[in-house]
Amino acid sequence: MAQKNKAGTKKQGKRLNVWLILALILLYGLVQAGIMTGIIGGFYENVLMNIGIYIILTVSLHLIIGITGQFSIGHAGFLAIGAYVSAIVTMKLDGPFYLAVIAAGLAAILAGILVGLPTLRLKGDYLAIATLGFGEIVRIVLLNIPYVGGASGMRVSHMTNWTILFVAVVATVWVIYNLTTSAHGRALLAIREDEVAAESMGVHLTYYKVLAFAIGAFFAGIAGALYAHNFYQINPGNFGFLKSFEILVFVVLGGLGSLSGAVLSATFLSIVNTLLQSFPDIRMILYSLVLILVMLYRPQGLMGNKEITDLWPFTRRAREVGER
Amino acid sequence: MEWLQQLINGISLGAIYALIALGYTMVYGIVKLINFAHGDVFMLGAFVGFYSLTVLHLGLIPSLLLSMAVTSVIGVVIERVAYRRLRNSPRVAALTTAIGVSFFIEYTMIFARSAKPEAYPDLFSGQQFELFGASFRVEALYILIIAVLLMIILQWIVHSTKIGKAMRAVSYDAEAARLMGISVDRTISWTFALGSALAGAAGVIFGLYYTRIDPLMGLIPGLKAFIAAVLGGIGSIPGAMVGGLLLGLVETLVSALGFSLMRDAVAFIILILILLFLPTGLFGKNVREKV
Amino acid sequence: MSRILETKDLSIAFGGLKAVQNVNLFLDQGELVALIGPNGAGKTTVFNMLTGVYAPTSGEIIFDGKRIDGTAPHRLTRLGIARTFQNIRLFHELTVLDNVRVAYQVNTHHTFIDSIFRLPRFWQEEGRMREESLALLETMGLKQYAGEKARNLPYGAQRRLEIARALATRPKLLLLDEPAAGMNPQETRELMQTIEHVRKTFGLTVLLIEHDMSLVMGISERIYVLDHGQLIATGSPAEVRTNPRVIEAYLGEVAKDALA
Repeated sequence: MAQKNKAGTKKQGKRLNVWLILALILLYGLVQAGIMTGIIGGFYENVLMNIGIYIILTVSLHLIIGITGQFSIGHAGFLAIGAYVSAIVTMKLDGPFYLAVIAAGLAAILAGILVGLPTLRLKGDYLAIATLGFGEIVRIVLLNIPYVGGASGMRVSHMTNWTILFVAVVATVWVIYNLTTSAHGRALLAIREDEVAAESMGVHLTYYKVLAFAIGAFFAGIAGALYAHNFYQINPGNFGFLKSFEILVFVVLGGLGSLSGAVLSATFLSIVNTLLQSFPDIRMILYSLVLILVMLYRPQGLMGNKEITDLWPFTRRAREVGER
Repeated sequence: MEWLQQLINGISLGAIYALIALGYTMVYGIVKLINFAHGDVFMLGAFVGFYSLTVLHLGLIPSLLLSMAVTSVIGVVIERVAYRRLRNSPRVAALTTAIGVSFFIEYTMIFARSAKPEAYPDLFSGQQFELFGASFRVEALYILIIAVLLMIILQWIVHSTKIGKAMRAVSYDAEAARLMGISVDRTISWTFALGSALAGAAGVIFGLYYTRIDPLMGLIPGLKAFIAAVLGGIGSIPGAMVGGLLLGLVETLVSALGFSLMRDAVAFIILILILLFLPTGLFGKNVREKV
Repeated sequence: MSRILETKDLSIAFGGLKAVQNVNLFLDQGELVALIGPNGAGKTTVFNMLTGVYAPTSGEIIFDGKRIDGTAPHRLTRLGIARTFQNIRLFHELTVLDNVRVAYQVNTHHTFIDSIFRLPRFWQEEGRMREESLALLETMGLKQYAGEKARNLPYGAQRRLEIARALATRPKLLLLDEPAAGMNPQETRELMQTIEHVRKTFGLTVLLIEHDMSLVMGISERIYVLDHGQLIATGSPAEVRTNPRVIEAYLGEVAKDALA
């Protein structure tokens, strides 16, 4: 009986994956057709770019904060490194864009490890301040390098397109989903829950924390490359604490520990961002108020650590008994 | 005599850091929260002082007192509205809220009066005084007198008054203090009031010395002051004073050596080094996690 | 019988306070030994040194013929030392199955690359891990809770899960820190039977901390008594029970309890 049940759920799971892949291809194709025929105009295309970039950023920070429980508020630092490295590759070295994207991710990994190793012995609020410090140091260093234009920044060609954005978003979510639902992801969750107990169960704290930071940084770096090549100009001011705060709000609002929550809140808030583009002050007041209210009345965020698939009994059950 | 001038610059900057750091350290000592909005209370203090000097035409000392009174009320309100409910939540939730409060204050201020900077009135019309052959701005003298006076008053409050004793008791063991009949809520409110008043005063003298103020001015000095508090050993009042002075001196030194643009980065590098090699700071106590 | 664990003059001081002084104890392969003593005697501190949470100020710890003092906790787990916590430290937001699987991962050989790209080794290892973890839950009577979050379990089940989680690391030496704290006599009896059972099934050596002397009399082969950070007696349950210094240490505590 149990055997039969198991085979049944596996088959159902496979079928679900097939539907998911079909839906993704359909989504990609429809949007691509829309862009090519001009039904989706420049403005909406730009909204899509922003949504995609913010999904990557939010999901990558979700891995660090929501899954591993490491309160990092310097995520814009990795974004900045990705943006600048990719811009150097395309603008200064005339390299191809895809190479720039990969270089951006790798440079951010390096930064992630570099920050990670010394600071990960710190806990909670101390780690927060240290990561904030990292973000600020990156910004200040960029301000002081004439090669990348100092305060006035760099001109960057528009190269980010729907295809590369779509691939990057899907890859990010896929990798982080796969990592989270594996032994390695469980080690990260264990660190979030109780570091002392995790260590006693054989979880190598430094290794896993650096792993989370490195992977989170990698995708933030990729987001940086897409970000830089979506605008025509980058400067250190784009990557201040404000940016880190924005990503933090997205993660917290989505729910600490919820991947689908991160995707949903990034999508929703990017649209809000666009709507409030002409009212930056009101946007920040709104964000800070929402953040305070969420913390006071629903500290687990909108989704808590639930996933949207928990809405359907079959997928929820599969998650609970560890089949997915 | 340039080094003497730099020394005075460093001490003046350090005194401002120290005043802000005191608020961080007192609040951290009692509720284990990095009050991220503290830098913005400092900013509000600078603006209250500014309006008091320019609109109400009050003198320096009345403006200073008014600024301290207003910021202490703001500090108490922030604690009451945003932090009290989270006292037993994970510290990360409280920290996130504090970051939210910080941004809320900054952008409400920008919304209310735009982001444009203001110039503090020049109360001393550029007067200088001579010492050992070097000349100094009179403001530096005022900063030092005000800062030292406030720190002496704080020491007196903490060590010789009833509320000071309650503060020390609550920071040592809140539960035991409660059993002894101390109102923990009231003591925490007092701590926020005192810390915020000092930040308000720091805002006014910052305005006097550096003349330029704006709604986002609190972030960097706030972070620096936090670093000063960590350097001195968070929770320790003498530590905050020493840490503030040290940081002010180091930053001035870095600027004087010609790396002025890297000044802000240096502070964060100090922070990371301190956290790694001397996590309890210069005057901190070692606390062990219970397993 | 071979010696699996031995300490030599194990001591630790916190600031000026000497929490544990010159503790010499040993365990032979397959033994069940209890470490007892009044509250605050330093029992958990000894555990924390044995599991690498604290580094001893002086003295040696030898496990399986190797010196291990100062080794990081996660390494010790891989060497074969597992523990439970007195004040239950489960991963509360994870399911019961995941709690066990976190511990089980020390026995798996896939890397995060396998996990990210869902390579064959991932399916192989995760499948094995899941089967064996569920089997372990069954042994510990927790299988019906597999999909529940750990924090929703009844108290007794949480205590059992602590043990299951420790067993999942496949230890040679199991350290149990007051596993019966807060349980009623019936639950305690059942728990002691379970401990006996897993010890036999897995061929374990067990060091058991207990505050209540009567609990361990039935199942332990030898007993160490700790008071004020020092060993004051050792021997069979019968010997320890009649030792005047032990009686004094415990009586002193009874007197304190009576006064409080």
